Amino acid sequence: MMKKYFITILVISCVFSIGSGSVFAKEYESDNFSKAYKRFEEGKTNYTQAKTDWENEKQNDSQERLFEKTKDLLERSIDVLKKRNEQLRKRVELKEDVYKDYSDEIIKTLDDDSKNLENYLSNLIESTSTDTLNDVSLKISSHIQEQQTYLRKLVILSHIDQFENTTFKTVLDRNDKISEKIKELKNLGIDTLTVDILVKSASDQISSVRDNLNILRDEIKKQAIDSQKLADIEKRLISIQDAVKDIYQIFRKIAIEGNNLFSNKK
Amino acid sequence: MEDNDLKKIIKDLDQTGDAQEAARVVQGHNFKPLEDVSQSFLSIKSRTEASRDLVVKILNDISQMEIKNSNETVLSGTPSKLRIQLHMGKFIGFGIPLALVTLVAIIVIGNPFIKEKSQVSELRTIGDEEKTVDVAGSSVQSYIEEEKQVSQIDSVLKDIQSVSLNPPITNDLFGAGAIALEAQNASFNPGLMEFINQEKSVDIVNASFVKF
Repeated sequence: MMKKYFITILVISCVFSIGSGSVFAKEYESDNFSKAYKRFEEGKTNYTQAKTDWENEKQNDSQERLFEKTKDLLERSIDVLKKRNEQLRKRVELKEDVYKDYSDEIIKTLDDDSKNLENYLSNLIESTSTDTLNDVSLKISSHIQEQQTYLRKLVILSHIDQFENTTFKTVLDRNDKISEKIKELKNLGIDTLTVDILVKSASDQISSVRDNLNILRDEIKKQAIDSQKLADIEKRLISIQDAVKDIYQIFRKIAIEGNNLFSNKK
Repeated sequence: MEDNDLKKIIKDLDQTGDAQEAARVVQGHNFKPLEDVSQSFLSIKSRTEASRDLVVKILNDISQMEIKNSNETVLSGTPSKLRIQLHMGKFIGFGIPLALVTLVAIIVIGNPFIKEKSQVSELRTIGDEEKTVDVAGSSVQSYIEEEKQVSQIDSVLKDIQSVSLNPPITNDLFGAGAIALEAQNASFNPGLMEFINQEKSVDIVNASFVKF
């Protein structure tokens, strides 16, 4: 008898867990991301403190203490990079809709990088002289230049793809719908000259956005992405966003004008 | 004669081994089905173990028959409420699991809570987004980014207002309402700008890896 109840309750639990599982999983991932992001921010604060200590120590004459402070600064720097990887990994896991095809490669790159950083940290802890510290430091510098460019490319390209497949696609669909409606007006014998001008303007803007997206994508694929390039990319992304908003301003005008023409005919 | 009386006779017989005494007691109770049997018991002269066992067996069999007969008698004259009570075991054993399985089938096939689930899911998604925004808000750069987005939303709201302030249009052939809604989402995922700002701060850390 008890066995029957147990099986029945188990079946019911399974049914409910299938429905609510994804919701709980998402919430769990979101919490994980929040925690990882907080640790990353804490890591940056610790790094800033270590850098202040190191700069203060440089004013003094104690080479031994300066060595310790330098070592501490490098350890804190590696810690920030590791925590950055950790929170970025959680972000990618949380936003599957954005990263899609790129997510596996991004996660693999982050995991490989974290392993390398762990090795560098071990070498650093074992360092007993400034020469070995310098050696480790320069190795890390060389490693992160290559790794970070690759990672940044993957992340930014995935966002550009997502923008193109969602927002920009909606713009194109809307443009098509507007063209169909203008045809309907023409079929009714309505003079659509005023909206035709606006439609031409919107089409030009759409072509410009498409070109800018393609140019930006090609550049990201080919070039290294340092701080300067990041600032440039940010500026251009905002410019593309503004251009899309301008297109919607034109669409709005077309809608008002087109609706008026249709109402007047009626 | 009740079942308990029979059991008592059997127990006494087991202790004394006196089949004749048992027969006399049976006759004393004036129990019709046992009249013939008790006559046979009286004819047993010896107190041998075999004869005693035989009597015990016969009485036991009669006792079982009596229990069965009395149950049938009770059932035949029992009101429906009591019948249900008597069949409660079957109800619990089969009825409840069957009802639960039916409920599960309704949930699986009909999924009556699909709308509620989607609403809860939507609310959770909004909650997630807000959590992310809260976290991002912890850095000054993200705060500036949020402010930029707020100003963009303000501009979209103005667009919507301006559409609604225009002379009322009896039709919306060109989807003015939909255009205003689409314009609200005409931006990159906020995560991209957050990532870029984050990477700028990481570059400051990268600068530590130099020759000391």
